[in-house]
Amino acid sequence: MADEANRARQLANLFATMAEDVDDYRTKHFSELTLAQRTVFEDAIERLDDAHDDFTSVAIDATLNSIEKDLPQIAAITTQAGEALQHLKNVAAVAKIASSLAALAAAITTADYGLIPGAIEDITTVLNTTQAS
Amino acid sequence: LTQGASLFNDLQGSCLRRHTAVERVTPAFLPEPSPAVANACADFAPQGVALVQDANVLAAYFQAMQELAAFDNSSVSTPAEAAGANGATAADLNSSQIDSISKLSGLVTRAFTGNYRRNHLLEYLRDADPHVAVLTTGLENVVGKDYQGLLTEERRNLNIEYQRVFKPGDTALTLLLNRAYRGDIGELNRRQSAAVAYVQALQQIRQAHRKLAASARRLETKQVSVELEPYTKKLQDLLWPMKQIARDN
Repeated sequence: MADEANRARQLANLFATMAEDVDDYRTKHFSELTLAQRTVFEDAIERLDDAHDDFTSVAIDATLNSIEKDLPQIAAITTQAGEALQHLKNVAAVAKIASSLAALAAAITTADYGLIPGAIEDITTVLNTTQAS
Repeated sequence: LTQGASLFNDLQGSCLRRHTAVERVTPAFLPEPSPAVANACADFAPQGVALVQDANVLAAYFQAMQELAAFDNSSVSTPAEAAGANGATAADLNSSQIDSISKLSGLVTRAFTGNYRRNHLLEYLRDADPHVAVLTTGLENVVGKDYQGLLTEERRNLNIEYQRVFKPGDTALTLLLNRAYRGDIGELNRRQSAAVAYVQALQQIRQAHRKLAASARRLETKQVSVELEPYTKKLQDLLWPMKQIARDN
């Protein structure tokens, strides 16, 4: 497929070079040429440019085909990277819950009952944040 | 990368401008191209759409990798340290024991998340590298060769168009033509500069990715993020001419 694109590009370049050469000649001899002669050269350039465009389009099609098989691989890895990040975020959420639960356990064990409402509030906040994310 | 859309969409634009110019002195106040002109450039429209989609896949990949590499470990280790400290307090340990358990909890969690992240980053970078190379090379060829070829053609035809209407000795006409010509050439130069910048950005992305995939095993995850950052920044700097075109269009 990449070869096909390269071949099409070589042909496109060939026509572009020919158009360039014709235009160079037309420009160099501009004042010597009659209007009809200029038109002949300009029409020739136009046809050469059309051929260049046709092969350019073939080259782009071939390029699109050549990268087609690589796109699902990159998309799959992108999804995996997103899942890995989500997993890390979940771990962070679990760590926050564990921290809050441990604070509650500490308050109960040490019989520091004044800390219990705050600890429960922390757990509720963390759970709400986790659910929201 | 997403700004490349203006270039891919201009594949057809460039073709249409050349064909419209070739139609003998088409009034600028009738912007609709004739059916023949539209037909001549029809292939480039779906190709532009497909290329934008491909570039978006690449942009999404880099975005996801950057986010994964930049994930803040402390968001996991700090709560883990707190959990460890609270647990140790509940167990009625002394202050130095509480401190040790707290730090240990943080370290274990950081090691787990750090390793998890590094292993996945390494795997993704290695697996994606050949595909990133194919995709960036493909997009580079389209912008650097095909689109540039169309712009070169457009420049040649622009010159022909102005030469055709020029009348020697008519000072007022020459003045107006000069002004219009400079404007048209300036616009064309801007598109060519944007294409050059986009090609450079793709080359740098490909080289940076290859370098990262090869050396990531030796780098800390934070370094991977740091390694990616200048390229992301450079990419943004390089993309300003394209943003300009997109805004003007």
